[in-house]
Amino acid sequence: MQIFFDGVQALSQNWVLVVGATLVLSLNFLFSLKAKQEISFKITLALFFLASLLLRLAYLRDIYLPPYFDSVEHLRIINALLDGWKSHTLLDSTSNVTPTYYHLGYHLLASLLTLTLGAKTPNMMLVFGQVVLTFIPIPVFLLIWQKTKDLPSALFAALLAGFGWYMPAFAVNWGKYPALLGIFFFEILLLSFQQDKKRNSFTKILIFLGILIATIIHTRVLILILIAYTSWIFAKEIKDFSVDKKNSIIRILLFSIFIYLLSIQEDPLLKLALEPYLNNTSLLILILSPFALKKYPRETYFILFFILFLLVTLFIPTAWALPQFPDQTLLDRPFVEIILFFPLALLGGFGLAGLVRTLQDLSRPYAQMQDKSRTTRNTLFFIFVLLFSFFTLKNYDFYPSACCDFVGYDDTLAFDWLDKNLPQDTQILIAGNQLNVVPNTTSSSLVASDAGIWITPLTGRKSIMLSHHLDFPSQEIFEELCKKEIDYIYLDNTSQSFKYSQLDKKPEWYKQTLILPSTSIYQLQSCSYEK
Amino acid sequence: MKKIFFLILVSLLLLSACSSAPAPQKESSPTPLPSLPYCNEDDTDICLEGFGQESEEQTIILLKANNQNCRDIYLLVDEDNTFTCLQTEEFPINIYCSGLLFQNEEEIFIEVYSNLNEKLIAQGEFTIQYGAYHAPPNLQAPTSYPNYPNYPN
Repeated sequence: MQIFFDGVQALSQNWVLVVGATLVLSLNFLFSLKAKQEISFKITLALFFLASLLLRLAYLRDIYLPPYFDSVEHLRIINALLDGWKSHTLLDSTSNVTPTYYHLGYHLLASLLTLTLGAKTPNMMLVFGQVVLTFIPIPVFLLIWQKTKDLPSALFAALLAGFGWYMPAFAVNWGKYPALLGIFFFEILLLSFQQDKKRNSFTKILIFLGILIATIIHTRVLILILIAYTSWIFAKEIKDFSVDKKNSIIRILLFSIFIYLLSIQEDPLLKLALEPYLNNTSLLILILSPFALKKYPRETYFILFFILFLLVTLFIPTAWALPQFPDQTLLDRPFVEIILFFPLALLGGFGLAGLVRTLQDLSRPYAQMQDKSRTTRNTLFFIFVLLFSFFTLKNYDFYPSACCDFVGYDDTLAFDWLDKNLPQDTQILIAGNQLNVVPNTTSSSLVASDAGIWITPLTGRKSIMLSHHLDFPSQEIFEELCKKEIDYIYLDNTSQSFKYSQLDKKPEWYKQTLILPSTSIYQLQSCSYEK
Repeated sequence: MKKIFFLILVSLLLLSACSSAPAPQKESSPTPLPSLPYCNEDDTDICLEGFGQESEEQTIILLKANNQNCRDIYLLVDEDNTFTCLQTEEFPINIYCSGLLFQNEEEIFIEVYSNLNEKLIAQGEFTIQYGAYHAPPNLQAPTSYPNYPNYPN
């Protein structure tokens, strides 16, 4: 219950932002949701949304700034676009802040929301991220409902999409806001595509615009759309094949997925993509999947092709088309790790609906028992879904992960102290870590690994990043720091920050200026240069 | 009429809840002053986060004020040492107060006063522990969540 209390508290503190973001995202359902629906459907959907929203907002309880280093760049771009909106120079701002493409759609939408709701940018990023997460299971719910008209199965699929695995929600800890928003738009597109069988020109234009917007939000969504479309065409073709042919195709499909899964497991970096999904929930889906194949073959073929193509993209380099990104693959590991929940949740939903229909078929000979057995069956499945949600939610972490929530209480004080006490031209050393997302490459870049990355955006002081493994007591390093005209060094007690013990070995070089329980600022002394 | 009655009743209840924390103390009132708790014990109004040092010359007392009425404050430490307090610009609930340097493990008595009306808001006795929290760990913090890999490895 504490978690709901935290959610309500966060809602009361940020209700304007929550309502604003909810309204904006709800607009996407205008063309993909029919107004006439059963009352039980409406109540289930509304209750699920409200409960999810409160659970997601609990994340905001103790977080000061959006997590991880990606967020700093998002903040910079959103603020620049915000200035552009305010000074009517948006086009100039856009070309200045994003000389290389960087999820412009997300930043435009976030800046517009920040402007219209009069919010602080970091707060808007945090709230918007959680609202997007709340919305992500809704299209899954609708997709299953539209195809099966079975409420427990739709609810089960939505629960899987929201809480079955620690992805996609964990991606907010990596600051992957554009990817999450892009995935939501991809789901909406799929929903619209599936709903409108008879497409008129207006619908076609809408779908085209949707694809364009989703691609601007996150480029890789275009790959997802292509994968989904190809999978759908393949699944459609297979429908008319003979039983023998279908059996052969399913064997080949499963074997190919298995081979790719093995290859991914072999690579220490790629295998992280599967890590969130190695749990009992996936096992449950595996058990239900034969029912999905039996009763919803076309949808199941689509899902299996979709999974296979997702895995394949991890091995397709883009160097031939994009020479400026020689180490990239069509979809990168974190993106596949985030999106895998989607086909699995659908498979779970269709699996449960398939089981329901199989039981229906079994009870068909006893016609007089039909009505009674239907009520019993529905009750049983609702109990199953409720039990599933209880055990899933019990073990689910709704709060920020220690891995990536850089900024703590002490950091906020240190930033303020630094802003009020150090000269404007001060240069501060901050900690970084080597990042390598793509396997089989030697290249990696240095990225921030503690709260120091927020010094420049919040105080305007220049920061210089070096590896957190820096050997501070060495004369060579000390001279290098002097040469770079470093004035201060920023440390906190996160695992990838600089080590206190290293600096304390040489008090004549590094003087502790600010000491807080989990953050410190050291001043570099005895450098021969004069500022 | 019923609606108005309920509205008044609710307003009164809300008002009483709002004014309960920093209520001015009447001389004759027997109500004891609110104590200054550690933040991981109770962070409802104003609480203590810990202690720090500035250039080995000053002690910094770290506070958090979730109650808006408790943010414009100053401290009196051991009755006659005044600590001036600053709210952080970006996160006004976080407050730090600087003053005379005290030694580690020294016991001090902190009184929190409002700058607006000089009223005593909270008080408490603490042992200075530089670089560490003194209170027991927050038991509400989730502990069972698996140790997920740092991104990307």
